[in-house]
Amino acid sequence: MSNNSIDNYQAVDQLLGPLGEQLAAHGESYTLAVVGGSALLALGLSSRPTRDVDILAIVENNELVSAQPLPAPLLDAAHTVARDFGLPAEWLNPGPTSLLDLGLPDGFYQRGQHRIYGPGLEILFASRIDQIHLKLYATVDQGAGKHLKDLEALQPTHPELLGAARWSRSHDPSEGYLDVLKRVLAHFGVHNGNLDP
Amino acid sequence: MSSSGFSPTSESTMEISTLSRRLSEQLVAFAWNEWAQMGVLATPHRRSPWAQDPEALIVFTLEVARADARLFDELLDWMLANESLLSVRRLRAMCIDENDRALVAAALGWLARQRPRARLGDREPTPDTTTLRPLFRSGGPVSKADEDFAAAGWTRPPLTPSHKSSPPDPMAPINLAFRLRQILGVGVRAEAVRVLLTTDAPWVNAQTLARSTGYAKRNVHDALAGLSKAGVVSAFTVAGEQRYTADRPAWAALLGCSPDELPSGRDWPQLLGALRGILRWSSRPELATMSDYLRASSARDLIEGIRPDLAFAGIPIDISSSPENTLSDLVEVVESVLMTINADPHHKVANARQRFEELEPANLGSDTR
Repeated sequence: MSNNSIDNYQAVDQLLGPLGEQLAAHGESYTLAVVGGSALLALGLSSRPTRDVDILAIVENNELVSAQPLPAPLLDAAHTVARDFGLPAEWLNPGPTSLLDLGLPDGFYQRGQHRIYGPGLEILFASRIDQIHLKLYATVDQGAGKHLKDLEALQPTHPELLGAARWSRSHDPSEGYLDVLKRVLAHFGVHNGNLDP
Repeated sequence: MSSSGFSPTSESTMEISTLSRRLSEQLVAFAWNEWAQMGVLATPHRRSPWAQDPEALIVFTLEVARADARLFDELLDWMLANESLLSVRRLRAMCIDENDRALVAAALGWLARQRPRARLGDREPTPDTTTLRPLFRSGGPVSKADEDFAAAGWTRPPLTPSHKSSPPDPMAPINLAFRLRQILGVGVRAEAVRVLLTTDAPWVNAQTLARSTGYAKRNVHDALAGLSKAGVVSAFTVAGEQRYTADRPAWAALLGCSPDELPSGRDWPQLLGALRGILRWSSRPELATMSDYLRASSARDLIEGIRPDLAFAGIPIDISSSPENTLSDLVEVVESVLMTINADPHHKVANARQRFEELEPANLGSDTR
């Protein structure tokens, strides 16, 4: 870590390891689905530094359930880790958990990469193809910037982008969204293809 | 698999055990020296320039002397000999946790048996005593346990007073509290005047006096109102806050010294409480099995817990944002507090550096005993 940011895969481990230790020390155990910049770093798919770990969901009995609000023991442990490492209090946040409302790409859970951080914490990192889906949606929905950079770092193929585009339209079928989507796809050299969800 | 950047087993375990042992030795020596000037049969190695807080020192010594049975027993003997000079209420007010309460309950229970008095016999409920803990850290099996200590959850051999203790010399600076109690009685007035006479500050408000004396703000306010009416304390209001100061020349004349000869003060309840907390933390056996990260995080909990008291005592704490440095931060905190309680006010830095240089982190790490 540098300047309180997470800048490589080791830095991700350096935070999730202690988080797992804090949870285990208090007799707690969670499995969390993680997406975003920290997941890309953890899987070696990007080198863009990030300041937080985005929790998509809590995994309970192989089901993804909303992480909003984060359970109190998890929040307490996260705050302790934030204090110990000089991080913002919200370094672990459930920001993207609303994505669950409209559904994730089929097979998301099965494709995720599991890592265990001691008896208190297991992380399900979103796979590369699922990150392409989520990052394409975020680029179109929230604008370019970090999401576009992450999407570029993932080096998606045209079929992968088209598949992600069709899925993303199930989240937003509006014409405005479609218009921006086409421009983002064009940025990647995709000019034709079926975009119906 | 987790990789927190800390090794699972560590040198810091050894560092903490070294810190604990050395801190214990320093604090036992400090306590002996203080009590030797207050009436315990021992030879003082210096003349403390400050006024001590008897109850804060008793609660502190009850913990520290768990590493020195002779000191513990001589303290109880002193308490028995000088019981009339003590405030049971303040003894309880100085407790910061259940350990303190159990130690004070044991001491008061033993005193009550030796010298039945209503104020001593008023026992507070003691913590769970179904499991007895050894009082002394290096103690072996106890064939016959002291009843009063067992009632408070501790096991130790029966304690018999040595009757070697004497009353405190009222002319010694360290004993100003006792002299004021002889003049004003055991209570909030004597404590408030002690703080006002020994503070470096030009004035003190009731809230600060409450923290320093261990009495409720309302009691402090009422006592100071009475002293103010008597003309021995000045009260004035600034920005809606009532502030108090003592007429040092007048009090010095009453005590038979010049104002410059009045003893200095320390925030004893806060300083001795923080040291007690550090000592207890450093001797926790579970630290040995924790990972380096959890140990550092636990040290951070400790530092955060004592930070308000140390800030009150004028000791700022800088904590790095890296757990790798937390133990070094703790050592610096220990050193700062030891400097504050040991140094002569006029030679604070030089003396303290000499005396406590062995607590430098580098030296801690190199000790393999």
